Amino acid sequence: MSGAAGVTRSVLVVGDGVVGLAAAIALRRALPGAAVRLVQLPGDEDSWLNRLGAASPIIHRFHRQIGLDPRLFARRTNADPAYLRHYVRDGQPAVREASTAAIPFVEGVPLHHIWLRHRLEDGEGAPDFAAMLLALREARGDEGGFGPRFDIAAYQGLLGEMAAALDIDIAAVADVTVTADNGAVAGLSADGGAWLRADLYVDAAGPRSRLLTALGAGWTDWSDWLPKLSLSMSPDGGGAQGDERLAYEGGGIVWQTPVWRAALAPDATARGPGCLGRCWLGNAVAIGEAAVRAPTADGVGLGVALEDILRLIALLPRPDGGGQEQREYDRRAAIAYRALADWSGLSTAPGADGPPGLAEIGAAFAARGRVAIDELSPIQPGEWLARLMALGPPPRRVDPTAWALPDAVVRSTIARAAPARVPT
Amino acid sequence: MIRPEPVRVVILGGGTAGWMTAAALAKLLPGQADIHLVESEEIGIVGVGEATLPHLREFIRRLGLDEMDFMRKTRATFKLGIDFVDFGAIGERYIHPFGAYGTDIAGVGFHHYWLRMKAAGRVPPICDFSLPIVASRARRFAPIPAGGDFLDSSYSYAYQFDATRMAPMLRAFAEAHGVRRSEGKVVGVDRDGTSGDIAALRTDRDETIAGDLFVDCSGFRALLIGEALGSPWEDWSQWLPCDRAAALPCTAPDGPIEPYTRATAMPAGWRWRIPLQHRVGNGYVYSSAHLSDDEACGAILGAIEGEPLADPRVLRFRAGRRTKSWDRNVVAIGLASGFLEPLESTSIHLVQQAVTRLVELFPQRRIDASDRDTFNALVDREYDRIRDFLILHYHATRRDDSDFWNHVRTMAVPETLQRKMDLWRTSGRVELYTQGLFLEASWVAVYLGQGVVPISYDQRADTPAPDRLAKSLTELDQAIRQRVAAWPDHGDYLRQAGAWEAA
Repeated sequence: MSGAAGVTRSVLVVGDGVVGLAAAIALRRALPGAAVRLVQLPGDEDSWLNRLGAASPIIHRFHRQIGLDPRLFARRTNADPAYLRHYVRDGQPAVREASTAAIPFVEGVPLHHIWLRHRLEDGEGAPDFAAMLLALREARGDEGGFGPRFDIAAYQGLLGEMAAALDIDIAAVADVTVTADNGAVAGLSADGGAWLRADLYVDAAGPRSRLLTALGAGWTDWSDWLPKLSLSMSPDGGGAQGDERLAYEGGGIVWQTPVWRAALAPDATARGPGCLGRCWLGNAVAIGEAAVRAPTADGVGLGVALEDILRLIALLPRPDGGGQEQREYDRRAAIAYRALADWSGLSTAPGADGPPGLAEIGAAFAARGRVAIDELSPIQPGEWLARLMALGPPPRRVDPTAWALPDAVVRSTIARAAPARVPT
Repeated sequence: MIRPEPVRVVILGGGTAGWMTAAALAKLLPGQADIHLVESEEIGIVGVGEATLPHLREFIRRLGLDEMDFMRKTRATFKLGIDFVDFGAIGERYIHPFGAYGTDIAGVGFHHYWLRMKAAGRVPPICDFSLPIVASRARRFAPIPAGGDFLDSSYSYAYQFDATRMAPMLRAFAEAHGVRRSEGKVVGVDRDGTSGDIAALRTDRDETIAGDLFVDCSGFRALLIGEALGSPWEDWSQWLPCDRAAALPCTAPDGPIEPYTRATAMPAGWRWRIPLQHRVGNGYVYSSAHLSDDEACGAILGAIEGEPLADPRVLRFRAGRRTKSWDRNVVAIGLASGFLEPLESTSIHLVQQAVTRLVELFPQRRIDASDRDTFNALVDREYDRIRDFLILHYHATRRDDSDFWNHVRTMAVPETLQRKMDLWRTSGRVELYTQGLFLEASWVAVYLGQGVVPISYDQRADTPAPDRLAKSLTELDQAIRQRVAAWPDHGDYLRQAGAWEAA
């Protein structure tokens, strides 16, 4: 086994935002024999992930993997687990959304089709679909939901402490320049001086990143499909625990959580959405906003970045490998990023055309309530279902399997949700 | 009326595929599907697919059938995997188990740790770390207990059964659930003048059966999808050259019953051996370009381990599938839709998969093109993934003892398979997908079983200290042996559980 000789002895992570810190910690855990070094760059105002304290439920799995106690995370970052969203759109009644990871089934029939049948048969007297999912949540004690909302600065501080405790070397520099050689990074020069080298370079420098572009990776622009939005945060949180409220106004969104308030506003000067054509070239991989940017009014942006880290670790190549893992990484990342683009379109500009993938998802859902997403989408089928039910046009057809159910099953399924009805 | 009108479904053909479709639609779509099946007793059924995959249990469960009753009626035995003999090289064998090897450690697949220990020269074969393999070799079986430990959840099982007994059983079930049946041969197909869709079938008994949706389960004849609609066939024989089988049942030997199917590579293909309660199914799957029918019949007669119960019967087929399994208002299910040789017991699974998709995408009386397109995309993906997995069994070989093996060893394989093999060879990793029949453990089984050892493995597997890792592997090995030693003999369990049909 000749290739087994090659071992990653050093990793250089560029960028000390939450994604860079999280990556450095995860790599340190995965490669206890390797030196992990982090290059700290001045703050990047274009970054959303360093300012928006929101993650999808994947963060819980990530924390388990790096050994971060969930109670410590919750206490230090003032985290609130979001599980009910209220959407307010111009001139429309408020809509509620609750979420599960998997699409719930009752007697082999998707829950939403039972609900749709009941609504057709019994008119407007039905509980909303969110109530159906909340009832499930209560019955199962499901953590599910939308993931935590938290104080991002506190989280960054917590990860910084963890990195220091794990002997991750942090070097603060004003800027780095990349020297490329034969499709790989030969080294980085810090502030025009000190020379930094490693077996693996992880670009977590956020929107300003250029490590992969220095190697010739192209950027695919999504401005035609997705809105250009700027983000501003204010610390005045409010509302009931677990609740958040999204008001769509004038092409922007005001998003109120118990922990903070965010305003997403149309801004032609904002850095546009898009992604790298290749995320892993030679010995360098870009993750998080260095690889993909799309506005989200939920925790999926950070969720996708954490998935990048998990994917990177699952496919960690040996330095002398043939590049097959890199290709597999790119294949999986491309699927994840397309899913993010579709999700971003649905959530930040509901009703607009959005990316081509979203049009297909929307058409399949509108036709007969199918959630036609890729099997490797980092956004789970249950999450898609909840959002499509909340924001998309409702399916035109009730599934025949739901019509085939005995009336009593439909009645009892709906009755389970009735106690969970909450006035909006 | 809000509730849609029932869709008139006409199923042509009463073999395994026809009655599986009828039973599932009748059970899962009462009031939504009005089902009429037409078949002729004069036309025999192929009854291929004596060995099955664990997914069939879900089909039985959804129909609400009693498992033991099903096993008695089809003279079934349990199946924990397939024993592949002489595939990688003559004299080598491995079992592709329904289950995993070992357990992940720190989120890293077990086989990476095994590869590390193998490189260091201090590890038993990987099959020792699979509960279903060790149980197969010991010819033992136990059902999966609810709420069991990691070993209990490390395996699954299927059945080996008499396929010709399944259709009559499902027929009784379907008719009890309201399916109408007509006896007769189809002699005419009426098309709608405007749309070109099929409007009705006419039989030799002067019956005209009209419908909205037609399900073609007429087998290789493909009377509707092929003859009537001319839907194109995508041929895969350049990768899967076997196109015939010489099948032959023989008496079951006394003694323990193998809870697994055996596939033995032969000079021009391979032969199956499937132990049932009352007999053993055998067949030589071969390439007619490399072997004559007489030679194949002679070879299978010479290879069986019991008294022949019939003369060898030659079946003809070709590997491939329709480019559209659902065309206009005709859905092809079973052999009319496509064929992949039974090397991994996928025939009945492909029927089950298509039926499940049809239920999921069941149309209204006027068919929506998007339902059809989605069905075809899902069926294609399933076929394509199985195809690549089957080709691997032939291509990953060192055999050079016959023209047949020289051909499959050196042929160009589909790009989708080449990419998977390249990833494995260099890194010990398996291309990730979550939907489909054969996931990581299956690919690992065939790669390692046929001698495709990667040059590297996940470097995270280097983390545990060598002695600690060796100790945990030894403990796992012992735990599996102890568990299997406590299991009953397979034959004893069949009788004990009430699965045995007293002859």
